[in-house]
Amino acid sequence: MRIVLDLATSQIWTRPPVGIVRTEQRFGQFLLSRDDLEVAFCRYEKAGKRYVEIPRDDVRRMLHLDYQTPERDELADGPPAEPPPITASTPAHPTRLPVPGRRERLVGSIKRTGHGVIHRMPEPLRPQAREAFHAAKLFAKHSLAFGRDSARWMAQAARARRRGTGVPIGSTAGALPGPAGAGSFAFRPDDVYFSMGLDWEYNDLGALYAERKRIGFRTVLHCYDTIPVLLPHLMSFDARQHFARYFTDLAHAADRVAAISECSKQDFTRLMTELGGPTPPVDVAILGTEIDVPQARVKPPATRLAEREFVLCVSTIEARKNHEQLYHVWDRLAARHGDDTPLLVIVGMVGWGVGDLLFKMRTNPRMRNRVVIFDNLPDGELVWLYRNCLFTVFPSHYEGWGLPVVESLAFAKPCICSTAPAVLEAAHGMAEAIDPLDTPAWCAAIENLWRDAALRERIAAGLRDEFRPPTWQAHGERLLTIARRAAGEA
Amino acid sequence: MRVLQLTVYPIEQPRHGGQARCANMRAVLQSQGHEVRTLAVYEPEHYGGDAVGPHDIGFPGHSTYRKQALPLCVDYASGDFLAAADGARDHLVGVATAFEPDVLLLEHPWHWPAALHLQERLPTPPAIVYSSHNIEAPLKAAILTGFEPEAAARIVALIEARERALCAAADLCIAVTDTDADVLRGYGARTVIVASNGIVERRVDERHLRDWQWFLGGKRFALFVGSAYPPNAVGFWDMMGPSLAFLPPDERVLAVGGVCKLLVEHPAYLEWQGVNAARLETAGVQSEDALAVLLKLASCILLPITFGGGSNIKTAEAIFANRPVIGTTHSLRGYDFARRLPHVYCADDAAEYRRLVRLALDERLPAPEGADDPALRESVLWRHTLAGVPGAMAALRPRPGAAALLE
Repeated sequence: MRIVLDLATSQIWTRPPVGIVRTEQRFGQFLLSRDDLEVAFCRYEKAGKRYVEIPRDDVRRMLHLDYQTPERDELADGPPAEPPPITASTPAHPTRLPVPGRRERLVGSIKRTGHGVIHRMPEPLRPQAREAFHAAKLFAKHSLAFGRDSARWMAQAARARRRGTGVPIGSTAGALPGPAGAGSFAFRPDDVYFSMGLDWEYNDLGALYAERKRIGFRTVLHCYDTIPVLLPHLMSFDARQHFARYFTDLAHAADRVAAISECSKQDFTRLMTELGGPTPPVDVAILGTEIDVPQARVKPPATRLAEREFVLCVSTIEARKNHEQLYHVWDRLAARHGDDTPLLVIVGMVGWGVGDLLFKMRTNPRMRNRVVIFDNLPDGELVWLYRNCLFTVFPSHYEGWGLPVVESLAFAKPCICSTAPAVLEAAHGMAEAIDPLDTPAWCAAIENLWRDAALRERIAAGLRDEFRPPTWQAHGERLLTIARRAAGEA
Repeated sequence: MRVLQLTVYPIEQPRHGGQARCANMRAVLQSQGHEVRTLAVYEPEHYGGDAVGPHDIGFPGHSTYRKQALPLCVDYASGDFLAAADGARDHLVGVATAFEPDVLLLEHPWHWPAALHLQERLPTPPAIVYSSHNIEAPLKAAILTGFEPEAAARIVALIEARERALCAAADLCIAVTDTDADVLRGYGARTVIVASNGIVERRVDERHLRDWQWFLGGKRFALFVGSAYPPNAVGFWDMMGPSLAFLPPDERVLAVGGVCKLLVEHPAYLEWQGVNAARLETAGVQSEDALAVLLKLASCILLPITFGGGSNIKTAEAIFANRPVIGTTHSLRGYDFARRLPHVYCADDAAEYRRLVRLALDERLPAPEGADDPALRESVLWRHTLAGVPGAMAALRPRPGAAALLE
């Protein structure tokens, strides 16, 4: 058995890694650490409509293997590991490989510029601007794809006409790869192919299906959540149809599916049943929690924070995450306790559907100096916030997993979270769970935990004793088990 | 024998099953030396030019009879229009008087009031032959599901009354299936013969075949051919739904005919449009030559009909094509003998139906048990299915009213 990991997302991604990118990179690191495994890396090249190999040295640089992963205890209490000495062959900072081509660079640049412009626009205009930008992206993407496919198809047709043979046509037929040509990744029948990146953006599951059928290798594909189909109204735009097709193709192309929680597993299975599609076996592989950061980089994001009591909420600021609830709670707390009210520190990018909320936070006199938002925070500063907060809150309406809850518990910080199924699953019964719409209950719980230091300490002690956070090592081992199952070895 | 044929659509260039039946009925009668004249009461916005016959008359949209018609009931209203003094009655009487038909062949029950009028006006009243395509009242009730119930019930009752009156008065009724024949007898029909729907033997044009092979590139597809007749789309989604997610990314359903528009407007399609659009290719109305080629190239032919009366001409085409046919009890109605053919599969359970489609596309259908029977397949050609009609018509005696008048 050879493990083949698709690293297209990591290679193209240019922003700080989000959860999915981190997952892909962590499994790549895990595979590189295992000398007993035969491993290869590839990516899907959209322009060439084929899979290509990524050399192992490129993978090492891409996955930032500059310093070692600190142990969990070091993260929670002790000093994290220092980075290794910088040598002539090691860049001073983790560097990313150049993105594969001019096209990807150009697309990335346009996306960043677009998002930057939107971010600087007056808040009331942002939702519409975001919709318009998304529509323009789709239009440009499909126009280019149509032009490219048409040109390729016409060229193929002309050749086939001359030869008197047929050519495939149709929405994806032109994309079906033929036998691996020069430069294409050479899949083998004993391969187990893993993809855990942004496949709906950077992979072609139709092509993967055809390649798997041609060669006969096995595949393990990932399901983080089915929220775009399940709860399209909680997304920034209606991607229900797009993702329904994506999950359908995934179900056909996967020998096994790895879900990140029981909740996601059930949601995926339920969706495929509703669609009348295939239901491949689904295994759960819980994500790791460790945040790798040297002690020297652990510092407060703002010096004044070290002097204040604060409650932490880590999540992108968007409608689904339900920061609205926190606004109402802090508004009430401020009305009752005035200047004694603790600060609410939110760590996350400002997303969609929160224009009115941010306006209220900005203009409500009671909220003045009560909320701080940090965007694009380095891991070292995030670790500082986890270590120094009173406790954390996570009122999300729905999730595929509850990573901020697990991180909070790993830092032995009490957490008040929502009753969303995946969040409950992540909390393992060690966080106080409240209906995300029950404002009085949120208010009472937060007020109680803030005012009762002894209670916080008791919870923290219990977490230190009992909570065993999932590790990336365990995640990697679990995926290996799934690979063996896919290969028929287990 | 002179036969005046009344239809609700022109049949010069048949596009759908009903037109094909009428046109072949005329052709078979003519082939036996009978003189046939066709009068269609048609919707001018749908037909024009060479598609319209010399005696056909338009039923214009501004006609009071159309404005008063319920949605999807223009066919019924065309009967009132044809019988009315301020409608097309004079045109009908003019054509009939000049032609002096021996037989008035009604292809639908709609025109019974006009036929009744003609009986009184012509010096020699013609024999009445009702060639039923469907049992219309229950079919209309199904089509009108979702409309205002009282209005729907009223029109369905009127249609049934018209069917019953026509059956009771007809000298000969022609049914498309044994089941329909029983219903017509129950309505009071005295003499009933069964003449199933059939097909014309198509030749596959080599040039068209090459072009389509080139166009399809050897890609596997399930073919669904249907007219813009609501039960076609409903049956398709009943059996293939809830979505086409059961098809892998490289397999397709190719839909041909007027049904394409109905398929993509159906709620089941729209509910999972992303999945369905990637797996359903709609080719629209295609020529007979194209259809012959597609029937030959398809991995399987779908007949997912779950309701509606009569027998489906598309079933006959599928049977004759000698490709794997995935049908239902309903779609094979009138062609029950086809189940003896090794390439015909039948499933009424949607999950089993979809399983058979997948097996056919993957070329993994269970090996046929029997051998092909070309003679059995050829029995679906019009020349065989309608073979008994000319003789039955020729045996008709003059109507009593006519004899009395002559005396």
